[in-house]
Amino acid sequence: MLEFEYVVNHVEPQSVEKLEVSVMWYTEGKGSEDIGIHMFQQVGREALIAISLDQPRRLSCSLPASPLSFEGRLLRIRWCVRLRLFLADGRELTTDKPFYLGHLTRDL
Amino acid sequence: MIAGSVSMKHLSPPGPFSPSTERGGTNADLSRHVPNPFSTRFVTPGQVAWVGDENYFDQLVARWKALKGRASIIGVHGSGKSTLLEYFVPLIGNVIWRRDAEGCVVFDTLSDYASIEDSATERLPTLWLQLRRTALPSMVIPWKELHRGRLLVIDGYEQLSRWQQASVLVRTKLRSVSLLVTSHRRTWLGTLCKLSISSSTARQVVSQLTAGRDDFAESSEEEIRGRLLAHGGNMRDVLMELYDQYEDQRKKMTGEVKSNS
Amino acid sequence: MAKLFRLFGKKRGGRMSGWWVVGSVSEAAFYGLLFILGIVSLTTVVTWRVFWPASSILEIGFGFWLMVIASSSFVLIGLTAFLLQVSHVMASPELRSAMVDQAKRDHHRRSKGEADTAATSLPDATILKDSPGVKLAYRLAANQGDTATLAVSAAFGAAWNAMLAVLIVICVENHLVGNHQYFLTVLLVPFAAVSYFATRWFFRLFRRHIGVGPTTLEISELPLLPGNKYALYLCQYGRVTFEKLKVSLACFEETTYQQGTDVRTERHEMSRNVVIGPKQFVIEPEKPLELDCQFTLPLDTMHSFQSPHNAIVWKVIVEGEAPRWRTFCRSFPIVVHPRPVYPQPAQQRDDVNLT
Repeated sequence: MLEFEYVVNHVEPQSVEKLEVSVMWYTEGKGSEDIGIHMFQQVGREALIAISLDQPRRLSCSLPASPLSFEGRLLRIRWCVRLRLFLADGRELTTDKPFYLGHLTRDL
Repeated sequence: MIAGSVSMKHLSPPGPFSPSTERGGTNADLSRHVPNPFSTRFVTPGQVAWVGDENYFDQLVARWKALKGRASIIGVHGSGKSTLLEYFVPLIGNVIWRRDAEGCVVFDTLSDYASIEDSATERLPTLWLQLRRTALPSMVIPWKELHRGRLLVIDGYEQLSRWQQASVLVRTKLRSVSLLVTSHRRTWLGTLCKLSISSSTARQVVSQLTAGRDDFAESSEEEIRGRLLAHGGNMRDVLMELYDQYEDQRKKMTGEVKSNS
Repeated sequence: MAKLFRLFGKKRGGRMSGWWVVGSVSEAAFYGLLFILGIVSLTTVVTWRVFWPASSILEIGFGFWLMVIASSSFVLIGLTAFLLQVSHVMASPELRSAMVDQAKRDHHRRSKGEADTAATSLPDATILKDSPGVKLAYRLAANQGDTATLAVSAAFGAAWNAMLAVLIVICVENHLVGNHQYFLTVLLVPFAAVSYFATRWFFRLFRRHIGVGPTTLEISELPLLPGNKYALYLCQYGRVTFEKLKVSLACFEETTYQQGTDVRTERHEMSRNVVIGPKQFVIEPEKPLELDCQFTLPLDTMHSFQSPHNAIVWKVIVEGEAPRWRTFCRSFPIVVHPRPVYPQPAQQRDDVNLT
């Protein structure tokens, strides 16, 4: 089970169109990147205004058994919680909070 | 510019380890989790900042106008053609449709773009597709969307057969569609520029990628020149080789730390 | 001395009589020659009628059509039997039967509309489990790379020799009627050289496959889980003395990336654990080599992974070195699934600034 909370500070709610939170894995390395979305939640403008952005918002989800976080030579598999803010002026702001899934902490 | 901050807190993360809280974590352990600076995400076209004269793009725009909006960018594999497109196309066009090398349409605002708007913009509405050898012959050019005042960009023009190339030339000419292509060899279009990577440019690219990283020994210009020569001027292959070199260094460093601890 | 005369093998129960290698190669050569003979005779009959319609030889009638039918049957029988002979070499009888059963099961599965698991990152073990084993639960299917070369050489050799036969017939017919086609005659020389090397290439590969024979590998369980113990059963057919035969469990990272207009795939071997060998074994056609072993998958094993551009692939690899035959290597893909993950409490807060 993954539980986390996020807070957006110093941003006017009116300047935000929507907010997306996703729990995902992505590959990194020599090859083209792949991603897999495990959990996705979109918060619209009305919901954002209803509860102040600087109030902690809590989310939780159960995590799958795979793919495990992995550090290889050609390929790395990484998990993260990604927050994406879509602003009214068309810009997007993204931030990731990585975490490990599994127990593979040393090279094979 | 909007300034703000986002904080996230794991309440119960699944893994017992994280770089800053791992008990007994060593520098070597942390370095395993630092991305390779030559990973695909850092070296794909558009990710690497253009290295060159700051007036270069002004000259290119002037040449594009002199060629009346029909030109080709010539260069060998890995000479920076796709990268140049990422920086040049936004100067002359407004991308409304784009298909990547996988054959997937990654951007499509055609239905939102009325023809009446075309004439009002200086930058031409642009349809951009990237060809890949294995993607042919399923390549589809959206001809019904190509008409006067629009720009067609084809990355990988040499992948088309002679017949297909001729067809593209004739059809875009008849429809008064501007055309910009990249190719390994000369085409029937005017040459916008001929690209080749110098060793100093290559070194600047490598320095850019490894900026702030003390875990990778900086390569000398001689070394970069040697690699470029060995790969026939293909910067992409040089970066792939540097990827392997970084991994070898990391493995060696991890092994040394483990043997010392 | 007796072996020299036994060019054709005969199955007697579970054994083969005669000289295994020579018999199989001779059968393939016989059917190949039958095919070429059919091509030559059919070409002769048809071209004679087409280019010299006024000739009284091979006039259209009962004799003409009899010749056409006989020649066509030679072509069909020769080609079919030749291809069957080659396919017999590429797969053991049990594998061929399993492939037929698998095709039926695939069809049944598609008709029932079962879920497509291609969208998940974990490779599906269902297809691997389609083939039941004789001794253990499942038979593993070999990667087709090893046999693909043989198939290609057979196809190329048959097609090229057929074309050469047609050209020779036309050339000879022209010479016989006084129409000397010297250019065609000279062209036949390099064509014949290609034919010689193509035929030699094919029979070398064929002989190697015959000598080494098909490999059957069975496993006790699929998919594999880290920390568990599994049994392997290897059955190697053929007639060869292996100086070294080795069975390993290997894991590879595979990644695909775009290089401009090209797509490249790179592979890196992450780990390799030897399960059997390397040891010396002697295999007889009447008595295939049978080996049983067990192995344990380490707890910190990374599971199989599949995404559009990246993969982690596990395989059982059978490798052998034999003095008269080149080294051979056959790989059998398997699937490793992860063990369940248990969360542990920890708290950490990070502030990230946005700009």
